[in-house]
Amino acid sequence: MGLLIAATIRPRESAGQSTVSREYTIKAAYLYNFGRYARWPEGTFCNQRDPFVIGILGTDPFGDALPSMAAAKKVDGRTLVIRRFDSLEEYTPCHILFVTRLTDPGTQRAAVERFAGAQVLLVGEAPGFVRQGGIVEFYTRHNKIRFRIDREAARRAGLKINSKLLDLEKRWEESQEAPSP
Amino acid sequence: MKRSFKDFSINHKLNLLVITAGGVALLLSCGAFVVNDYRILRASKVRQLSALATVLGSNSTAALTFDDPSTGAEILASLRMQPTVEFACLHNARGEVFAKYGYGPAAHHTPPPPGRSGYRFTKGGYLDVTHQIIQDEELIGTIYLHASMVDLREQLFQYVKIVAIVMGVSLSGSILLSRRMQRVISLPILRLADAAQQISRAGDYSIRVEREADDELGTLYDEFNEMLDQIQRAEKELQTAHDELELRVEQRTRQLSEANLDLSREIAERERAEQELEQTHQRLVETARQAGMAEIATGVLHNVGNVLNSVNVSATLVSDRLRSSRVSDLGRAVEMMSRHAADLGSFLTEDEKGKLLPDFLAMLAERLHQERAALLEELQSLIDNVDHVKTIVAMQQSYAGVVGVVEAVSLTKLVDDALKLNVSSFEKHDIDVHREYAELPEVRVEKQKLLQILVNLIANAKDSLIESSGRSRELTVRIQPEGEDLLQIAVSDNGVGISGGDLTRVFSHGFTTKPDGHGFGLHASANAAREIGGNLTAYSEGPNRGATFILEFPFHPIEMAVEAAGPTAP
Repeated sequence: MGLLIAATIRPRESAGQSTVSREYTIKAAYLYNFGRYARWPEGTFCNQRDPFVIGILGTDPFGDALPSMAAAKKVDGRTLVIRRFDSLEEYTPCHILFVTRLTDPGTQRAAVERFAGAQVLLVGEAPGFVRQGGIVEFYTRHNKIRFRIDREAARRAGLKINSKLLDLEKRWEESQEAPSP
Repeated sequence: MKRSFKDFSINHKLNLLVITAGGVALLLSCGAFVVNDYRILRASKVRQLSALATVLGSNSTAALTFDDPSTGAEILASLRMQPTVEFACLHNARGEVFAKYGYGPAAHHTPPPPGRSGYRFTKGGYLDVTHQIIQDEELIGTIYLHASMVDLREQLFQYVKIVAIVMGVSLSGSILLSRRMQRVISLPILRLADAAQQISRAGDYSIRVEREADDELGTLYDEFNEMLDQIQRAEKELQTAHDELELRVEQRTRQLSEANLDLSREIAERERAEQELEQTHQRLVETARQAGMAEIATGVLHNVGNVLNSVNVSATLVSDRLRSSRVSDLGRAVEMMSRHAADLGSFLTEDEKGKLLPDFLAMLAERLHQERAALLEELQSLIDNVDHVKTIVAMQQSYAGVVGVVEAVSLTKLVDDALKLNVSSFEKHDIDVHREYAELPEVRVEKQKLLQILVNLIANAKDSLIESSGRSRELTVRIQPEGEDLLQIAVSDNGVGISGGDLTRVFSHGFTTKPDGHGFGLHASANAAREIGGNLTAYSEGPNRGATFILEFPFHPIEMAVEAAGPTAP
């Protein structure tokens, strides 16, 4: 839970390295929380002891944030496992696959194509990731980490996303068109 | 103005009874309902608000998780539909204020730091509910609601109004109803009271009441009538008794006045008798006085007689001595010498008889000298006795009113004096006298009384010894202290003794065992012993076994000044 506290970025601590680290700390917490606000179709887990797997495609930017969370938390009673893939060839099944910003666009596109409708919550952070076919895309506004969700893509992947999360996302999307002062 | 409840009329009491009983019952039940309803209302309010907090908390989870305070504020803003909630606040997991909502008077309420789930009634009639928002066993925030309970109070007030109306209506209804009912009870009682008043005012016990119903009041009517019957009967009996009593009182009065007359007569008689008694008493006193004087006179004579006895003995002794005196021998010697006057020298040297004469004269002179000494001694005894007679006479004067003289006395000397009075008798009758004197200081005592007692006791002992025969005659006088403050003088003899029967009488006036006795000596001695504050006792083991008389009297050593207990004048 301690990681959720880091959800607010304080402007005065916006110095380079530290800001990146804070951003990914929040993103790590969000990834974990997506596990709680989404439902995977039956058959994704063989049994109750199967771990919940978060995969990272590309260079891991989270540092210590994800492993320490994996050590302390569970998702719906399952242990949290982190897997890192340098290329798509290394891929083993995950529940959430995070595609880093630094992954080259070709690989990103290949990943989107490969996992369309594949019961994997595909999360990216490159602008236009959702438009390319990803399910969740992180972006930053007013110094806060926000995200947009492609409901159609999620539905195709067989994932059910909590309406509260969707409501939240919808409000962000709407306020984006008419930015608040 | 203020009257005790007891003094109210029965109608009032019944009314009050109905109002009090009904009022109290209504008030209690209504009060219980109101209190219960209020509690239920309050509990439901708590439930309602808790549910609200739970719903709002659950709605806020995403906003809290993904750090969106504006969404949180919007969720709280939905509380506008609940006007009693005047303030609400969301805290995030770190305890920081995440979103706030305010409305009405408590809009700028300061929220307390986030606590555990629960509720609390706070000042000013508010209900505070705190709810911890938990997701997957993880606390992600706290919601706090601050709601006014003014609606609850309004509802309560409404209840109280209803209770008041219900009570008013039901009480007036019950009073109206009881008015009619109570007549059944109060009217017969009032009628009975009227009847009783009438009876007491007129004193007419022939009045009767008529019963109307078969209840307790009917019984009361019957009993009332029965009581009146009894009173009438009793009154009649009382009148009869009264008449009889008057008659009896009259009789008794007559008897009493007669008795009174008798009594006054008796009293007069008794007074006369009392006067006679008084005269008799005076006569008796006079006689007693004379008898007392006679007794004293007898005593004096007896004592004088005792002494005169000794005087007589002394005189006889002197006369005997003189009769057998050798003075005549001297005469013969002188005659012999005058016959030989011419040749006195040769007669004295040559004549047979003449040669003996000088020796004879020397012997004679010696004898005469002895005689003179014995006579002088006897004459001294005579003088002592005569002194004793003088003392006795003086004592008689003391009886006539002179206080006895207390003087310092040596007891041994006094006892010796008493013995000396009889010394010639002792010699004559071969009586051995033993003296056993304890060493004592001089004492203060009435000397003459003590001497009189001792002389009498010694004389008695001597007489007793003279009368006995065949044994050595022994008289013992013992002086010893008895305890701390008593002295004892015992005179013992081994003479004729006293028989047991006589022991109790020896001190009586007129009792004697001597052929020439008066029966006065011991009596007077005992009296004298009492007068010096002591007593005299006699002991004897029986006839011919001797007797002991013991005189005990207070020991007043010479150092102590003591008042004399002198006899009072007759």
